[in-house]
Amino acid sequence: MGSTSTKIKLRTSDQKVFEVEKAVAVQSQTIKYIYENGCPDSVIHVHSVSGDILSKILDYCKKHVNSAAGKEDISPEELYEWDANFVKVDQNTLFDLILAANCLKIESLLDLTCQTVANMIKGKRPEEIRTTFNIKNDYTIEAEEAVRRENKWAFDMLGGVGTMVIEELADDTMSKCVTNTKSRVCVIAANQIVMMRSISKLANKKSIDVYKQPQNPTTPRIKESVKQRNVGTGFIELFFHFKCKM
Amino acid sequence: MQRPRFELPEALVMEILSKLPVKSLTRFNCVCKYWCSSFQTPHFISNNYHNNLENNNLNLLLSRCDGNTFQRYFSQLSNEKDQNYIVKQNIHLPFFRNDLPYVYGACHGLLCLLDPLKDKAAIWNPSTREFKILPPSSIQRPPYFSPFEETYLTLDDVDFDHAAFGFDSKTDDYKVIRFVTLTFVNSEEQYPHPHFMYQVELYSLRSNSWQEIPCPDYKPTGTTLGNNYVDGICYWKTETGAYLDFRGLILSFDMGNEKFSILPIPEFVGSFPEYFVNLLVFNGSLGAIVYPTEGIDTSFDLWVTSEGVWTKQFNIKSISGVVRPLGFGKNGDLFLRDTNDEVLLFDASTQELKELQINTYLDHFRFTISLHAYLESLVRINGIQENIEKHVIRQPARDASTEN
Repeated sequence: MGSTSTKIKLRTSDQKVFEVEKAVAVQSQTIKYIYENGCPDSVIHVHSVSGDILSKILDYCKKHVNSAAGKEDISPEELYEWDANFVKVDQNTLFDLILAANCLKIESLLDLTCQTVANMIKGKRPEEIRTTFNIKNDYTIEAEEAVRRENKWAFDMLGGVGTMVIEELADDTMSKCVTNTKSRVCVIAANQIVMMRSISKLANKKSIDVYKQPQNPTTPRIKESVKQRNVGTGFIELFFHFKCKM
Repeated sequence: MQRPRFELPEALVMEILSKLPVKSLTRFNCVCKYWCSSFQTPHFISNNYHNNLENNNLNLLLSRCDGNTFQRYFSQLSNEKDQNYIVKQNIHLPFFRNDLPYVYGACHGLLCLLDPLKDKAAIWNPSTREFKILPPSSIQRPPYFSPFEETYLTLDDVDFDHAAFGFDSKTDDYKVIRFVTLTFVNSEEQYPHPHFMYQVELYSLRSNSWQEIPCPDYKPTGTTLGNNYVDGICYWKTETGAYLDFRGLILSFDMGNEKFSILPIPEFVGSFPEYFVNLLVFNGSLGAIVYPTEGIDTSFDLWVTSEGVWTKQFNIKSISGVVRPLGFGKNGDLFLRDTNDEVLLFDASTQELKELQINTYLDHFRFTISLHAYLESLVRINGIQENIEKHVIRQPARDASTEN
């Protein structure tokens, strides 16, 4: 039989069976190893991967195999875009994909998914990071303050007089808040201030209210407690004269 | 982001974190103690650096001279291509005060700043903002006896005009090599004739000290465009100096075995004085950019060497009004200085010459503008934070209204 139409059967943790072309399946180094060293005819068990996740992974592998083999007419830029859309999934699915890519040893997918998470978290505050990765803060209050002071520059935002720069504002932050029931825009600057305003009121409003973050010892406090400030037209221009005290 | 349904295993979390920019990692030092110590392990530092290398996270610094104060400073250019390399921030070096330090490197994201007129040097990681002042060399300057004048001469001047900065992988050590030119004169004479002597000093970061090493027959005579270190070896242009047999040569120094070598420079299209040959590092290899000295239209040939064989990589055809190349940015973009001393960019993808909004007309010594590139890195150098003694001061550019 021609090797181009060799199929491999994969059984997932939830007992779903997938039949895929060998070229696609061996994108996974793990499957490749099992196939080459085990019985090619029987089913390969991928214990730690669910059907849903494997289905997505096989889509990825198929796309990349076809593009590399020239079966699909797709430019590198288009493949890049396809990859970017592929990882537009919820956090749990993304983490599932990372685990599966690691277990199945699909290097390019592991790189892609890890880089995606890295991009999502790079502008976050340490408190948010602890939530994302379920990490317990083992610093004492004094120790953490000391570390923050030492690394102060990484918390600073640049800004001249009159403007404050919002640093590395993640796209999901903006959109998440716009869709909540009260239709408020919630913009979180790197780790400093949270400001909320309803969208409809923004257009005509000359000034805005500033909401401080809930008080707790490790939260930075706003140096100038400005209650209202003249605003510009865009969201970015809303934030004036704020410098966060660490 | 929400609390996850499950936790990722530590190794995968570290895999994700190693893809973060240095600024984020610095901020995340206070997430927990384990993360803080993990970020300092050689394994993590190395992974992070390799990710930066693969993604070519190159940062560009333009070294220029302030029009008012005559002080050298750096303009950090934006990374984003669509921002047209605008100036994001200006970095001043009060540590060097009135001197104009030369920049060597980058090696693993580290730069070496060296004063050519004084025994003053520093190693700098601009990503982590760590600044390490090198100790003075305290190497004995030898006496000079002039048999003709039958007297010992006076040491009039000590210059450190050629150097290099690199890495010794065998000892996992960063080293600085520095050529010292000693000028001796007969102080009795009214218009003394200078006599020169040379020494070579080698600094090791591990031992934090200088030692003297034997001086090679050939001394560096030319500078490189940007970095002059690649893959364990440092390079300088030199020449035979022989009257009838004047030839350009390359002097190299192996950081590992601490030995000098000489390599020939082939006759590319022609040679000096019709053509300039600037050495540079291109895509991880030693290369040379060759261009005519005269003429209105300048075309540039880029040659690269590998194991003694030189091959022409590409040619950039006639660009008018351009005087000198400054070096390559990302994606093969070439920075140039034109006849008006403005900085231009030759965009490799569109093959077009673009003006950049880097206003150099207020600068002094505009012909000394130089370009330096470094990759982000977490490499530690046993220094102190830049802002502690205010050795380095950063100022956002006035019109930078977005990100850092």
